[in-house]
Amino acid sequence: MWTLTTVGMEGYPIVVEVDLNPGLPCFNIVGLADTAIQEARERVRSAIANSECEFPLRRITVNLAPADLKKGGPAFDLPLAVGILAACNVVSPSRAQEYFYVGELALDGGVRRTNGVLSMALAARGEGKKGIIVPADNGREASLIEGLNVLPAAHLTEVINHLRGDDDLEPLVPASASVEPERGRGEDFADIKGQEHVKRALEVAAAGGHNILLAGPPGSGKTMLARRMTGILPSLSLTEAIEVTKLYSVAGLLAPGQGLIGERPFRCPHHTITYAGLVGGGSLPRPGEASLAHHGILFLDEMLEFNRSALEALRQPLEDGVAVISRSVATVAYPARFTLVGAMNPCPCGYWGDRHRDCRCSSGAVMRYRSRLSGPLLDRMDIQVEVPRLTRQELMGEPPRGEGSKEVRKRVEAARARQRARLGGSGPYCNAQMALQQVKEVCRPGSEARRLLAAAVDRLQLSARAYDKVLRVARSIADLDGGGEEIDVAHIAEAIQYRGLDRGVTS
Amino acid sequence: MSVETSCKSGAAEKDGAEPVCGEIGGPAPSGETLYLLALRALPSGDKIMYRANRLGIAGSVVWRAGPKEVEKTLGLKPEAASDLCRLREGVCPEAELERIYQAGMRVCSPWDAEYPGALRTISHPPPLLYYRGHLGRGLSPGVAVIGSRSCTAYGKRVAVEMARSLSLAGVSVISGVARGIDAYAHAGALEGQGGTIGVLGCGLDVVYPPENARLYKEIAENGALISEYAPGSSPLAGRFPARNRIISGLSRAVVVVEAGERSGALITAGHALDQGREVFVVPGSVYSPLSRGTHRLLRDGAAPVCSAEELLEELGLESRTEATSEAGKLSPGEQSVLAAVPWIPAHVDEIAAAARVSAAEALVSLLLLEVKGLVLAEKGKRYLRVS
Repeated sequence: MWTLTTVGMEGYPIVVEVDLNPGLPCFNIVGLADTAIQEARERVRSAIANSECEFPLRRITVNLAPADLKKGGPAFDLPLAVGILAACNVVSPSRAQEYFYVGELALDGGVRRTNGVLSMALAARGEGKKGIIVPADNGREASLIEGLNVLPAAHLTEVINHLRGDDDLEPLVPASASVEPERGRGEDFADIKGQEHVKRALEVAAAGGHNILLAGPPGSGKTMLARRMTGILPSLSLTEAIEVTKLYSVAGLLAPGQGLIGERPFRCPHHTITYAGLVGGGSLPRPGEASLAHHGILFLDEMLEFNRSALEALRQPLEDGVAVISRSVATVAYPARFTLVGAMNPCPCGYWGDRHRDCRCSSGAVMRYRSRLSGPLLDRMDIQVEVPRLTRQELMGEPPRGEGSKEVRKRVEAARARQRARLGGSGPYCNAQMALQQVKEVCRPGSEARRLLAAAVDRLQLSARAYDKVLRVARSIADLDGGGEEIDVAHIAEAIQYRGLDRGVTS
Repeated sequence: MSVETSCKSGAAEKDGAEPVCGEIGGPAPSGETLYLLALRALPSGDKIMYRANRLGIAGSVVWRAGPKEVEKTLGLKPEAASDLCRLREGVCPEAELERIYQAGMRVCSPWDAEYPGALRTISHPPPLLYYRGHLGRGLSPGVAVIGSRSCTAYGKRVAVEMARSLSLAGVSVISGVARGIDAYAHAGALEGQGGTIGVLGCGLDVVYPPENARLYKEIAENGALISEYAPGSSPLAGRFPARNRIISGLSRAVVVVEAGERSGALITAGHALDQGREVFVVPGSVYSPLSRGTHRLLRDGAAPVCSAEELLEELGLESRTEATSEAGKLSPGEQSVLAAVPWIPAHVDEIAAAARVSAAEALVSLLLLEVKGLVLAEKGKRYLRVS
């Protein structure tokens, strides 16, 4: 009998061999099966009994091949049941061989949804079977794969009837795999009062895929701003959407009956999150928040409060776009190409640089507080902006509604299109991910802009690491501008303004 | 602290004898300095040294006196006096000096010629002064430029410019090597040729705050880094007010650049008045909490000073002005943004709204204006106009 399992993001076909022997009735499963599979024996026994069939009183041995691959989870229930029924000729063994089976069984024979069906369906496509039988709740997810016959089943009897030829399962019509932008959860850029320069910084960050750090006192709206950033990112492409859906499917986070995820993910883990929670882990490695934010936003509120080792673990995904998890069982690479949005208080009391309240922290305390963010990580935050608290007038007055997310997104998409054209199809797809060499080739400031850069390095004590970031961000600003390939003085100047935290504590 | 080196006791007892270990160069300290060093090396030696100094008893007298005599003259308890006499057997004055030299430091006391004359006139002059660099420079007229550790961009700029101009005019700038205004004053002074003197509240070998390590080195190379505390002394809060009396004592005048209500710079100003030094104050914004202390000094009668030239004139010194002004031409955009920047800090969004430009455009113009020196960036993306 054929089924599939997932290792990381990829599906692998598994053969379920069932052998019935004379002897004392017993039921053994071999082939590196975890506890969930061992417990399947009881579920399968009851499910078969409750599906108007008889559970064979024989010595049953089940082997899951390849035997060296560690297997887990309840998705083996359905193939086990079908295997046993085929072995005692309740259903035709040859017909049963024609399908893949995935699904967890309820004691009454119902078929329950399971994780990772999209990855399994993708792996099943090239295997030359007639189709895949999946839980009804996973049907839409599996039907995203074109060229695969997907048969959803809600009960074991339906599967039995189908294999007997009594009552065929209705194949699902392949979902028209298009990204339906489910935008506008009522969160729009236009809702934000004031904060014009922060909004602009978010737009630049979205245009170039830059990570951004928001520093501001409590209650200045950092979370609100970050949440709205997904709305101004370009829409997911089909391949991106399938990748995201696969990850959510593997993690078991798809809602029952959900098809393609059409919106960029926004993940905001709490600062008590562990290393494994952030980048992924577990003995059978599961994706972490960094991967769940793939193609979307990973928002770390109170970034300085996070466990240091957890934060440092983000460096690899930030650099390579994958989170590699090595365990004794397997080494798994989950994609994790996200935009990091960090939020922090500017100092322990939160009022550093506030317009109306004095900060009570000594400059040493401020420096110690900020040093919790390591240099290499700060290095990866291309844009750093200060988010001020709103004044009472701004809070209470009815401000002119600013631009909506839709208009901003249009500009961002145009900027991204320019970057794609410049950088070519493969490799990095936005300015933030360019290699150092590419920065040199692509970011050519004009002569006046170069003079300003030199002056900035001298007078504003711009560090060497900030220099490279300024060039990248300036490139993105120029792309938003829609101008030519040359970076002019205004672009450089604006980019320098987004390096707030490089410029020391006192000024 | 005790010294193992066996050393013929009495070797240093010949008054005025040149110590054998003073081979580093420069004037060797007098015998009295050696005895003070030796006294300090004893347990509770600090207390004994300061007490002897206050009572006007020379170190050599304490060193040679018998237990009874020590008890009487210093007013110690009998057991403390006998302890002193017993423990001093293990201390060799030359070895103590050698140790200072080994660490690349020098030491002097009021008995030595290089002890700054200005300090001799104050009450409670430090009995021992450890230093790195050259004290000879300290004899030229010095001006203290001081202020609080947290400061604004305005204060930073004033401190740097004031110290630079003073130094260019040949005046040495004295300050406390702390964070903020102190550090900027030293940095500004290092750009001129007047030299700078840093007075520490900890041992010379203790770098506090840690980010000033480079400043320590540069000050020692272009002036002197001095401390009354023994090497290894940690920066205890109580030591800084005492250090401040040395800062004001070394100076002809004290300029307070920026100080909040409870800033240590106000203590220095108080010492300066007690010591008969002039106190000048740089006015700030009436809204700035970091100018409350300076404004109180003004109300109490300190003289306001707005530039190094004014100050030099007050002190009867000649100023050597530097040629600056790199303003250059402003584009129409920069002009309209500059017109919207107020003289007290305003947020970027407010400036953008006043100039009727987008936040992005305002950011660009403000950076260009900042580079041209026409506006200052305060923390929290706020800008104010200067010059």
